[in-house]
Amino acid sequence: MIKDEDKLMKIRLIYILTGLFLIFSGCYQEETLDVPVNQGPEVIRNELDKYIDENFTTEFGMAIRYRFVDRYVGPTQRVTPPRLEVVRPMLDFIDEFWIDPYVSVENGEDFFRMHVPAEIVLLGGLIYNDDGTVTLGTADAGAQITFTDVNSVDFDDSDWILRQLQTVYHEFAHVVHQKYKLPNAFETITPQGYTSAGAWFTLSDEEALQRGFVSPYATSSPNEDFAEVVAHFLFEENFYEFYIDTEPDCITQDCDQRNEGRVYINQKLNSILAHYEKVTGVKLEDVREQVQSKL
Amino acid sequence: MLPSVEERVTEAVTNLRTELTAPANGWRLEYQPTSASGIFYMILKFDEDEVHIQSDVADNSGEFFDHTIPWRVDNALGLELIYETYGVFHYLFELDGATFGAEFEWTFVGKVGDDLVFRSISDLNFTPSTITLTPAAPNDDNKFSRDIAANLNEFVSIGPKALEVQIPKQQIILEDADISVYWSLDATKRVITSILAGTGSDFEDPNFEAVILNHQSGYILQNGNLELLVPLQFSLAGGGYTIEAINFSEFTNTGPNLCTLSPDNGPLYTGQIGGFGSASMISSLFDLEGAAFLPIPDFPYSVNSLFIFDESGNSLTDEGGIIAERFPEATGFLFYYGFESDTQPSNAVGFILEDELGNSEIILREFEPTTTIGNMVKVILNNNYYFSSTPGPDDQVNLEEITNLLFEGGDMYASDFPVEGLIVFKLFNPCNQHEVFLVQ
Repeated sequence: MIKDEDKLMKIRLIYILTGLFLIFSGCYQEETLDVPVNQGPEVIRNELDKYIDENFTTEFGMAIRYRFVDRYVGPTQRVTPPRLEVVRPMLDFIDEFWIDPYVSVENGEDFFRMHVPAEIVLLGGLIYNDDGTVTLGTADAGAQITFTDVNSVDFDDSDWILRQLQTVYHEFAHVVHQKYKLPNAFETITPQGYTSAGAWFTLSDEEALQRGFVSPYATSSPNEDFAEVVAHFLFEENFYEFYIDTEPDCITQDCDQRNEGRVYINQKLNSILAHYEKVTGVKLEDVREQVQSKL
Repeated sequence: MLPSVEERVTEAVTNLRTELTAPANGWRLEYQPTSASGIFYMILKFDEDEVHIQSDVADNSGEFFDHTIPWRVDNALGLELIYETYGVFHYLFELDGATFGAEFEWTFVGKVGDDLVFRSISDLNFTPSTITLTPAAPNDDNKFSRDIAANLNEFVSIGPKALEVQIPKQQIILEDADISVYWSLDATKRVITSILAGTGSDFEDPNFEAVILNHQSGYILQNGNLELLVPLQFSLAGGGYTIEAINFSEFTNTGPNLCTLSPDNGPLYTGQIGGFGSASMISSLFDLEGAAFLPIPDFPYSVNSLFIFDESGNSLTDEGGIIAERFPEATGFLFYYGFESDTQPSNAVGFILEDELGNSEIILREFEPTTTIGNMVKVILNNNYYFSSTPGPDDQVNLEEITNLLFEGGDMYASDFPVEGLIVFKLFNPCNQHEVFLVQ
């Protein structure tokens, strides 16, 4: 008989890891405004097409692609189109949470009309990559924004809403730095915090915050950092609590580092707010107020 | 002089559109996404802008039985038939993270007799599949067996599902021959994996005689039959058996419930098997690999307490879970099964608790000596407890409450959970559908 106390000391508790990497966003490294958009079937075949033509294409110069065209995604990505019946609710969502907050603020309508991406692509599910990862949202060169998981449209699902808002605010923010450059010295605020290519998803939210970033993805480049700050500032109800206001009475190193990170994020936010207003005439604080009033 | 490219493209697209919209009754399609999968029966009727698709896919509450979506023909790598918005083809395409092998974009290959042949564009790492659209006869929609598809989905609700895709198992009882076949049926991909055939209808019978089958086949549902694409053949107790199809007749919820505490309200599907007479299909939790969950004298089975799940697949250590509330300091779960010890019980379940200073203690509740029958372990808890150190005031009560929950009814069914480099089992409770992972 084996001495049981010895045996019990040898019990190994083993974690079983399973699951799927979920990757948010996936902006391409080199983004410019001059890349031509993919061409799709521009035909008016039903009432929905007429609605899109009147309210988006004619009104804003924005094509809405809901019929499947494989060139909208990369050759290693596998996607599906949306259900026909969710397209109109999704358009209402876009109108309510993206277009309206911008056009409702001072100088916002001019800015929106001048910079709106030429093409909006709606996908029914997620983007399945051939390496087993899943992409939740994407954009191409500031000229095309792709909404994924449109089949799950549900105005009562806060997770779904925030994911869509993060996508669109993030991608629309790229327009500003692409056309007007980043705020002066923006990339020097946390120069050591940026990660090497593709390494951002090994960071936790906590580690990103300690480095002075609002998300792990923000560490992938100054451009993504800029877009992530804008997106989080607009959709995150508790933005100041999470990312700006320092925790009092820190007694741990982690707490100190979080507060150091918040100081950096505050610098970034202030430079972005000033830059945004200077080059676009739009006060992002006003846009945030509009967005938050709808959530 | 040849017409312009544009004119030729327009003519080719128009010709294919004309072909597709021509048949008065639409097209019949027996769609097999991959060579390993079963077949989905469909009828497609194209008009100028939309295609009306009838299918026998019962998932999503029958959403794809009858739906209409836009379509078009493109000219790219060839003439391409594309279903433009989400429908049954897209649903099948997205299965398993879009790796199942179904498609919704097709290149026109040509016309063979009256049939139109297409090859898939979007197969990834698969040999492109070919589909043949055959002009449908007026009564082809009578071949749909959607009721079978829907009834087979009723078997999905019973069985372990934490951290895995649930593929329910059934026992098919050939009543006249007095034998049973145990199989798993993937109703989504239409694949049946036959595991075992045995005498009688109860694998717990001491005279149970069995043969391992290792047989897999797709199936098609039509004309009231579940037809195996590859017939199942085996020999058992001196007899030879070939099962090609089951002709189902009646589905009820009066079958045996796998929980002994509940009335008989499980799915029961009766019918006929050609050459063998009456047959019935009921839920089963038999698992061949789970039969290897046996007493071990040297070590207890154990697992991080995180890996104990409720019927919804939520860990009981999550916020609001009973372990989180009663034993927040629990780090591990223990299952003593025939453990040989001078001082500790042989058969017991419980936890390793660890305080803030890293001090550990073990708390256990005993169960009556037992063994594994098939893959079933009868855990009858008693009121004997073991504590490696002085217990907290509520430890015994809390342990009693948690173990009463986990082992409600007493019958636990073991199955294997493949993890590279480890031997991992799951114990499933059919009464409350809780699951416990255990590492050997």
